[in-house]
Amino acid sequence: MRSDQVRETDPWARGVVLSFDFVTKDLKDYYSKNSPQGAYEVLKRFLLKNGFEHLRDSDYKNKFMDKVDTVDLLYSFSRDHKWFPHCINKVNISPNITALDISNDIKALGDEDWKKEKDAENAGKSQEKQAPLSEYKNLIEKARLTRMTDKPDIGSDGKKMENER
Amino acid sequence: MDKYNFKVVAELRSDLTENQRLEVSSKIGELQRRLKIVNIDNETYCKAPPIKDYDDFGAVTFFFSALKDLKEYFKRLEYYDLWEGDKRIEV
Repeated sequence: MRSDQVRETDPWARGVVLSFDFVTKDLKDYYSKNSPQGAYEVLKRFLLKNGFEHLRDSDYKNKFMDKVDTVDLLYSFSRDHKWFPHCINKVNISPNITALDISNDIKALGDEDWKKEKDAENAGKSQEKQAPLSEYKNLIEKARLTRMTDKPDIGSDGKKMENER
Repeated sequence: MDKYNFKVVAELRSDLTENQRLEVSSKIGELQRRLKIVNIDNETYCKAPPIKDYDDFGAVTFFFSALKDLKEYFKRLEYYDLWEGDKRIEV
């Protein structure tokens, strides 16, 4: 770290991740009997409208909002959507922590010679697996040829030519 | 008393009518009952014990959000995050 840089120590400095989950039975009772899952869409629209970004499932990220403002937002949502507090199974607010993707870097460290050996080994194994099939094909071919040679020669007139030999 | 991490300081205006005072006090009392908030002195509110691992955050913060709806009745309405040193002054 350069000496003129200040380390960011506040875990909430990059915003929040909000995760929630509903109780399906409660959604049926208090939100909608026929389409309980629609509640997820209602909250999703509200969160997107308020600067959240959808991550996955019911996880949403807001890089500029802190935990107190997030509670404030949920309070206003629950005031306008009476079913909401009665259907919640879990709501978590956690710091938005930056994920450092090092997958390509660790891939770059792979031993290529070792990989080639492994690939050759795997190719050998796969040929071994295929052997019975090729043997089977050979057998079929042999049987076909044998049948052809065993077949009595037929003349152009359709008569056997054996005796003529 | 467990060590609390979040608190709300709420002081009613002195010029409220008796009816207004009763009305707002009743609303505050209802919120306290629902969120398990205790009044530890005349103006300071925090979560009732037991408090474990900052689990007073939700109750106290929702309490503050709800009191903001009544802000015209307060001469002082403040939120303190003693865990991370944050402070919000609404009134």
